[in-house]
Amino acid sequence: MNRRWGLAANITFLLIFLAACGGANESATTAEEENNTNQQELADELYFFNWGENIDPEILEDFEKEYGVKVVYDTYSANQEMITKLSSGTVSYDIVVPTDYFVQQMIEEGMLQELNMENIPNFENIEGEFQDPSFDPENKYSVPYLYGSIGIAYNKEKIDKPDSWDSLWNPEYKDHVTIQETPREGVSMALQKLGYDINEPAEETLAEAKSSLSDLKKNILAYDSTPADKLINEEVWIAQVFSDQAGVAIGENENIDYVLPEDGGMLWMDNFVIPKTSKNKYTAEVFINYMLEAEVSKKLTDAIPSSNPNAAAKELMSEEQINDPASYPEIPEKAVFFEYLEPTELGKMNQIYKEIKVE
Amino acid sequence: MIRNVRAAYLMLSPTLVWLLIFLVVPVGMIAVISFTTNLGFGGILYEFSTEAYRLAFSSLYAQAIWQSLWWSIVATVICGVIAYPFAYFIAHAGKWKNLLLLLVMVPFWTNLLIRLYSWIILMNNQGVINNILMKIGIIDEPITMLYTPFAVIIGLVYGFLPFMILPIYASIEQLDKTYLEAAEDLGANPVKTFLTVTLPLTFPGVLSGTIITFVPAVSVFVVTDLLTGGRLLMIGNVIRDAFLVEMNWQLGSAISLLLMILVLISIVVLMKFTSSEDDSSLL
Repeated sequence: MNRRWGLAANITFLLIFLAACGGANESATTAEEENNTNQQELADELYFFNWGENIDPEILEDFEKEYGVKVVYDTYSANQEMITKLSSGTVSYDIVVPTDYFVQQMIEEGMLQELNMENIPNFENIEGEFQDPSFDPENKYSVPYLYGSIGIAYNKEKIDKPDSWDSLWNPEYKDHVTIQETPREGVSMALQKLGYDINEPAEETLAEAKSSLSDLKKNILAYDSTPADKLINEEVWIAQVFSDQAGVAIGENENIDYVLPEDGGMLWMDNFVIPKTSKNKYTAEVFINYMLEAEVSKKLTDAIPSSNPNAAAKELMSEEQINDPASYPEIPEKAVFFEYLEPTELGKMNQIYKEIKVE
Repeated sequence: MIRNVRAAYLMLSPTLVWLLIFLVVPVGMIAVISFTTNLGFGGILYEFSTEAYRLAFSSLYAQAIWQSLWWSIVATVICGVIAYPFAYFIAHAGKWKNLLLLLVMVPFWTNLLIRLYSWIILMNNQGVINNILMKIGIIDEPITMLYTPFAVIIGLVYGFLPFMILPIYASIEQLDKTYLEAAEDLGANPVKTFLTVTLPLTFPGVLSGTIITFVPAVSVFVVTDLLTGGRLLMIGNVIRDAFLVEMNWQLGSAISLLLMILVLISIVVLMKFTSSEDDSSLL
């Protein structure tokens, strides 16, 4: 009795083992085939790695219902974190969402697959000015997801409409000014005000930016990356802010407005990309295409305070949404995206901020 | 004898293990990292380098350390001046003693971060204090208190005052009253009694209060962050930013180590200076 059971158990185990091996081999070959022959079949699961609080979860549920693909969704809070996790090789995602110059960095490090635009016909919904970005010419590897800007929020009752960064230096606004707490954003503002390229900082231009920021210190109430509350209680009249912070302030206090300075202002853009390690490229492209559908894309920015680069989605929006100065300000010709800077260059910007604060 | 020593070590072992894991090892790691090579974005290459120390000894950090030391010394002195009479009063408050002590400790039940937010509401240009002063007509324009060194001192004194009160209270409480009676019998007036008997005998309390106020005050960073809106820096901010913003672990470690050495030196100096005082007072 015992022996027979033992034998049976052994055989069963052996069979399971063989089946498992076979199964594993099988799935490995199909994955390879899929990538080689570009087989147009949907996978069962899609691994999506996105910024925290950067989606309406309903969109994922809708996609699951419509296409029968389960979306496994994880979030990160910094580009560097996402890249570190991907390059560690312990995780594999089909879609990740790096910000502008991190796309460039990932392309240079050979981490991305080229997109097959035949599978993403909705790409034409993207506004012309957001196609062919400097960080990924011709959109070979990336598709715009959401964007925003860094510009000037100001109080219409307290001051005149500012036209350039220079307004922050106006001595009449002493103690009513805030600028970004992060060195790169602050130093870039000074560079732009002086007419220099924010992405090519040189020794001399940085020195000029430093003395300019040191003059500005007399005016500054605080170095604050989230000054919405200070704008709302009217302690601050003019601030260098991210557009979503301006949106929050405008929502609470109707005296507040947001503009991009004529020196340009800065833009950021989150983008869909497909990492080299993804085995479900076709499914990922189908998902990206779905996200670019007008209704889906509108639903996204109904839930998220960022701006939508999707022209078809904007057509569906209400007057109020389109006229929101924080989400859709007039974007000057000179507006620029941040590009990749070497750690040593970033180090110099950090140093400038510290020296100014200790002065 | 040997067995006793062994037993003593055995009983001490949990503490020793604790100190080893949470003090010796981390400090050792900081010391090692401070001499490695920076790869950028937090990368550590285990190759000897003194680059971090070259940076750490630049005038920028000297100035930040000097500012932190200066503000902490001022705050510690103010704490001492407030705390001594306060502690003296509590020690002589009879049946109210326990309640008063409890009130000193109540703030510890809430995180310092949250308590500092209430100071923002108080000291804001549109805040409670300015509003009241303007309503009564003492001032026309709001006084800028937040965002200045004044706010830093307020924050430090507020945050660390209990650390000064409690040890001083303990030493006053333990003071043998017969010394005071003896002084009185020998014809000393209250002022002289206080200066020559009470104060020297309670000095150890003042000393330990000074150390446990000064040491955390010098390295704190939330006070400058919240009460000056990032306008002013203490060495704690510099260290935090070195790790989190610049991701330069070598620099952060080097400055931390230098700060530790500096604080240890000040404590040794303080102890030496006061222990000789103690000796003379005992004679």
